[in-house]
Amino acid sequence: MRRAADVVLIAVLLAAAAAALLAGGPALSAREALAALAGNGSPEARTIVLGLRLPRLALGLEVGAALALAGAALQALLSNPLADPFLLGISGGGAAAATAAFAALPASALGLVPATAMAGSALATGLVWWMARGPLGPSSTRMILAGVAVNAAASAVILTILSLAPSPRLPGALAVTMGSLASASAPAVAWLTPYVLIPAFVLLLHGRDLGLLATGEESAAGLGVEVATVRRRVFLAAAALCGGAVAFAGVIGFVGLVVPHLCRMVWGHATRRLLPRTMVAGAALMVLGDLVARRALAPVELPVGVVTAVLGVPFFVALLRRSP
Amino acid sequence: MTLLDARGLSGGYGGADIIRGVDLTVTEGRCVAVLGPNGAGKSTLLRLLAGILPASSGVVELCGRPLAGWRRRDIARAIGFVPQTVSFAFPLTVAEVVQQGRAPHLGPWRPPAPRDHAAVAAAIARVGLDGRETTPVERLSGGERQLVLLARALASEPRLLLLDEPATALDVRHQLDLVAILGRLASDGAGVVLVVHDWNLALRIAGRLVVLQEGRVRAAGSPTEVLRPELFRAVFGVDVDLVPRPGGAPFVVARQRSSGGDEFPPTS
Amino acid sequence: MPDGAVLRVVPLAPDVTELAFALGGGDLVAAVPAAADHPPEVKRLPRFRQEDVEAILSLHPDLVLATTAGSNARVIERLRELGTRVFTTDVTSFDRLAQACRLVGRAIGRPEEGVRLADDVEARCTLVRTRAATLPRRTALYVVWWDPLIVGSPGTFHHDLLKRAALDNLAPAGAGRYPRVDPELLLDPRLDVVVAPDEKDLRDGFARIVRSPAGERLASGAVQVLWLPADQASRPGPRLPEALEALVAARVAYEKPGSGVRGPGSPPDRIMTTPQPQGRPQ
Repeated sequence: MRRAADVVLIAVLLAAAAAALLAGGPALSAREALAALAGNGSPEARTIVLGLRLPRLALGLEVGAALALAGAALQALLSNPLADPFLLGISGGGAAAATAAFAALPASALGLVPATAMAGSALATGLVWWMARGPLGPSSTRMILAGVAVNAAASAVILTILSLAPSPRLPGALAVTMGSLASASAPAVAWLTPYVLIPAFVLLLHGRDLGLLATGEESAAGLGVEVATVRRRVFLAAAALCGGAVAFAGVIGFVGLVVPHLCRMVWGHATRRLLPRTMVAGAALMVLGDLVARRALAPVELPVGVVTAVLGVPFFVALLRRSP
Repeated sequence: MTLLDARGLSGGYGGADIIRGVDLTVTEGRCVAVLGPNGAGKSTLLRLLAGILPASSGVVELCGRPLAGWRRRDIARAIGFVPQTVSFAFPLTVAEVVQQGRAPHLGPWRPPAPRDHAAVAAAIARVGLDGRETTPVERLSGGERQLVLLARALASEPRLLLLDEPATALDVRHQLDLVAILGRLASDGAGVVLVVHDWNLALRIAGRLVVLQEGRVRAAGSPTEVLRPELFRAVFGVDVDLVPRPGGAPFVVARQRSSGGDEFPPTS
Repeated sequence: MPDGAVLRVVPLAPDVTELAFALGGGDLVAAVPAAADHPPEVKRLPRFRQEDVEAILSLHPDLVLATTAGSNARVIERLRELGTRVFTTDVTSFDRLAQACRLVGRAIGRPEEGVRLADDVEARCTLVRTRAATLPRRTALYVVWWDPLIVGSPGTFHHDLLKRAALDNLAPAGAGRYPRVDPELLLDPRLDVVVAPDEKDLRDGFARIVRSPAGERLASGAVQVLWLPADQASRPGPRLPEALEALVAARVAYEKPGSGVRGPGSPPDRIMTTPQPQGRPQ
């Protein structure tokens, strides 16, 4: 049954990827897209498929995998099913920094926005970490409370900036808070790749440790986990994943929280088994979500976060009702 | 052979010592019960012995080598640690929880081998939960969850088992099962340290008792050496009757809160 | 309003500020929003922040002029609740601009000037129509922002601006006035012309987009890029006809008149109207 679910998951991912490349856009039909993919077709068609859609697909895969994996890892680390990059303020910190950069930087320096977003995520992570330090080391409860506080601060910063920003800058600033894969480009994908691959390696390496941490820190330490080291690494990895995702795609909600739970309902709760599947499912959901965001009202684009929520919630509700 | 040897052990949280200068030795095949009033530092002592909490002074030697020189994973292979409770935030199945006990034997990447599955199955059978492997732990009773945690520790096939109040939620039958399981482990050569509140249970399991008060050892030794009414009055503030039992240690029956008085000299 | 008393007018956005002055009501204007920079006389007037209801009320306005293009709806609502008279213009076309001239003229007690200004707008539109009639019809987008790509839809004065310059708007209807659209739209083979306001942010955004795959047809000259004076094109005020005239002039200069054949592709940056003094609205 789990093997079959693996096959279905891979099939969904491949189908989503194919659809993202081929689905007719405002400027070209599916057949033209297929021809372009095969190396034929008009130069415009090749530019659309290889220059726009392929990087966008790659960015979607990276961002979806990053957010979902970060969510699953944080849930296990903090032994809390509600933990996700949003609750902990990591995405919020990145978004606040990116919005501030959008409003304040001279237009010629707007290329620095991704770097600022990553710095914001890292800063938010550091703040949460610092606030969560209790007499017995950082505790999960304190960490989540700290996350709520950082989140509130981040929203305050964003709202202040949005209400003060010069109006010509608003579209860009709003795009950061709404989340979109539209600015995907080959350099963006290349930039983001190490921010996904290295943390993903770290998290998969600690998959077994994270499974033990999900039962509590004392319990994990008793089974040989270097709790302090693992906690620090997982938190840094999650910050890199979320900071990278926010930097290149803005704030996309829902994926980090719900994809891990969707996967739990299918593959069970053992973290080591869950992590790689969460990555694939997150990537698939993001690509599907972006496809719908692009195509539903084409050529108008919907915020992709709204679409992933609309796609995921009914599925989530159905699984929740069905599971014992 | 000495498995675990603590000398002058002190430690606590955030710089404040809770355990102060405790000596404790566990040899192969021996079972030690740690008793004491609430807040005496029993769980803290167990964490110090397992190396989960670093000692502020003194030394713990595991198999003759100081604990500080051990890698965490190697400690976990030698010591099975059964915490009082764990977080079941996610409804893992019985088999998945017990499987965690094999983690110290597996690297980050190696999947469980048949040998690991066999150890898991044996541990589940040993606590009598066979047939319940796929049940989510959240649907088990409190006592059954304690048995799952015991099985998890057994699955790692440790030489030494440290248990923090393993019997608080167990019914009478399962308490007897616990006595049998720990007795069998000891007779197989493992060492056992258990924190326990129930004196009569401690007397059935352990050949050696350690009584803690405010982080220090107030009494230690065999049941006959330790079981004195003055000790109960001084440490717990209760008057007890020691009802003789043929062929074994007496039953301990608490009668009333003592009106106070006698000072009990600490044993060294 | 008792006869003879001087009306105190407070405009809430640069476009209605310009309108009040164009109607000869500059002496009635008590203060201007921080972003107002035209005509030069506004520099002598006190300024306030557009969202600052208290500052606006402390000016004791008899009439507040607001606009759907850039006034904060909540501020307008607050002012109305507190008993201030607010007149809101909703300029979604040149016809509506002429109408706004008449109505605002009447509201500030300059009805003749209102009619005169409206007639002027209409006359200039008529003049432009005859010039535009010689132009071949092209398909176009009015770009408000490059990344994400945001364009003016049917139902906006930018759509009317394109239409009057013989340009068919490629932007979709029915998804709000300024929707975010798929960047693939820039590679649509039907797209001939892109019109954008000439301001620094847009220039920088353009410099980035022509280097990306989405900007390929812009970079190659397959799509003609026309930059309009930013304030005139972005503010639906009395200077909007200047933007239309500039657009048609730029098109006439580009197209070989009457042949219907596009001129040779040339670097997009050189095809533009006279640079205007920089000034960011708001």
